[in-house]
Amino acid sequence: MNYFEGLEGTVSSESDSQRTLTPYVTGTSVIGIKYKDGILMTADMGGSYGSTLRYKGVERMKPVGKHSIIGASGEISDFQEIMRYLDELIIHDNMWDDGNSLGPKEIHNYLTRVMYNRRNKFDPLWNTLVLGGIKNGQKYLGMVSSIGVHFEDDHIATGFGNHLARPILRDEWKEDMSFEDAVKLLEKCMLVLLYRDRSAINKLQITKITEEGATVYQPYALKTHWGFTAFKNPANGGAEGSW
Amino acid sequence: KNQNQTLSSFSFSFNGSIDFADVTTWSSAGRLFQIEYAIEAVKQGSAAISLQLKTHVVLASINKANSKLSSHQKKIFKADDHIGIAIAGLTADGGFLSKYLRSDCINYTFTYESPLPFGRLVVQLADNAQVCTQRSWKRPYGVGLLVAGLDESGAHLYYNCPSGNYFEYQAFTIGSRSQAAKIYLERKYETLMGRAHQACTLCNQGNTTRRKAHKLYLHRGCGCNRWTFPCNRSEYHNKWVESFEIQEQTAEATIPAGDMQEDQGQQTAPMDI
Repeated sequence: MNYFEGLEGTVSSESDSQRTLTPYVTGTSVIGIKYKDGILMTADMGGSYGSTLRYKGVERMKPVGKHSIIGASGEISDFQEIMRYLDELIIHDNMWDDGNSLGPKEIHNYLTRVMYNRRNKFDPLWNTLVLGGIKNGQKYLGMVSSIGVHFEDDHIATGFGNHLARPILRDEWKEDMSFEDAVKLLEKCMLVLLYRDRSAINKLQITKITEEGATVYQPYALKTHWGFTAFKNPANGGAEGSW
Repeated sequence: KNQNQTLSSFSFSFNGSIDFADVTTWSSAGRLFQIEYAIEAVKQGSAAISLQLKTHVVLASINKANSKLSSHQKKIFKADDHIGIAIAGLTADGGFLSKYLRSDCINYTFTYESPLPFGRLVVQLADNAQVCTQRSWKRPYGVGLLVAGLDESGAHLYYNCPSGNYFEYQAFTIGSRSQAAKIYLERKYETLMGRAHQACTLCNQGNTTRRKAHKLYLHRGCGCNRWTFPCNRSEYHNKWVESFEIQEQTAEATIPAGDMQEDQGQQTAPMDI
């Protein structure tokens, strides 16, 4: 997964100190799905410093303009840099003041260009971004990775979510789910990630975007169950193996 | 030859100072003559007419040929799938500007995967034209542009002046002997809303006397986010335009279904022009 390993000697040494070679503070999975009124996205609020769960109040999802929301996994500082680029983009768009506005499709493609250009310079933004939005009734959900791979789909997941959440989404996602059903589905995915992803913490946020605008909900925790005999009494016939 | 006559006719406030040497040099009366001369160059060019309706914009131009054997001057350009321009004046400047517009459009589409909101294109073009009026080594563009296109808020028509000004119009004509067409449009515009075919005829009507001498090119921008140019051959056009003149009910039938997109459910009534 680390596409940029072993680069230390390959590019001129003056620019080495400027390039991102390894990530430092990272966020884990982001999951996004289309539902009846727009897009729902969820991510936990953890920022890991290597294997330490150091920061527990990191907002990894933000609204962009009037029509979109973005979620990021990967290096948090690079996500903050991306937010600065997007703020500038949206401000210039608003300054035209002409009734036109950048929709999710435009922002997704802009981000694709940014990520791909950085990748070409061997100085990537170490993120996988989920971009969702709705404009004029058209729902849009897409993803861009740090190497510029981009696509659109009805449900998107990054990081561990790709392996643990997508199978659930493939089976259980339907067109035009209600808000409650969509939240239940996301919580189901996040619960699996909470149990199995070591960088996940039990403090998650849900963000939704509809024609009315973006809402970032207050963080909350999922109920987990640890009352298994294998945990309570591992020695006496409880735990046969790690599964 | 026309240019020279114009220069002398503009010197009524001539007081011996260099009022046609530099664009950047003001006259004592507070005028920039080079810009006014550029606008005059537009008036000397052959006519271009444009009409904006709710979902369509129509461009028409009179294209001159240098001699019987030469081809006709191209005056209508497609800048993108949803933007077209008609020019009058120094057509070389027009071709240069349309190249600039095309590259702006395609750069935007490359980054944003979406058509450029063309009101912004018009502003950029105007700023570009203004720069040419404030540099000692540049001259204003000698061409007026009728920019027609579609964006989220519907169909629009703008006129870009060599001075760097731009205005939105519902109908406008530029070029020589376009005054008759302008007056005609002012009178008839209200009755036209929503009837693009009649609008095309109207453009033609404004130039009736000269239609036989030159070829008339008619192009329509359609409301479905596509700029569709009908068949470019002038004989086809003349036949189509003539059929309107004769007030044939079956005028619609001369247009191949694939080429043009119709107004929504619009039946062509007998022309009452």
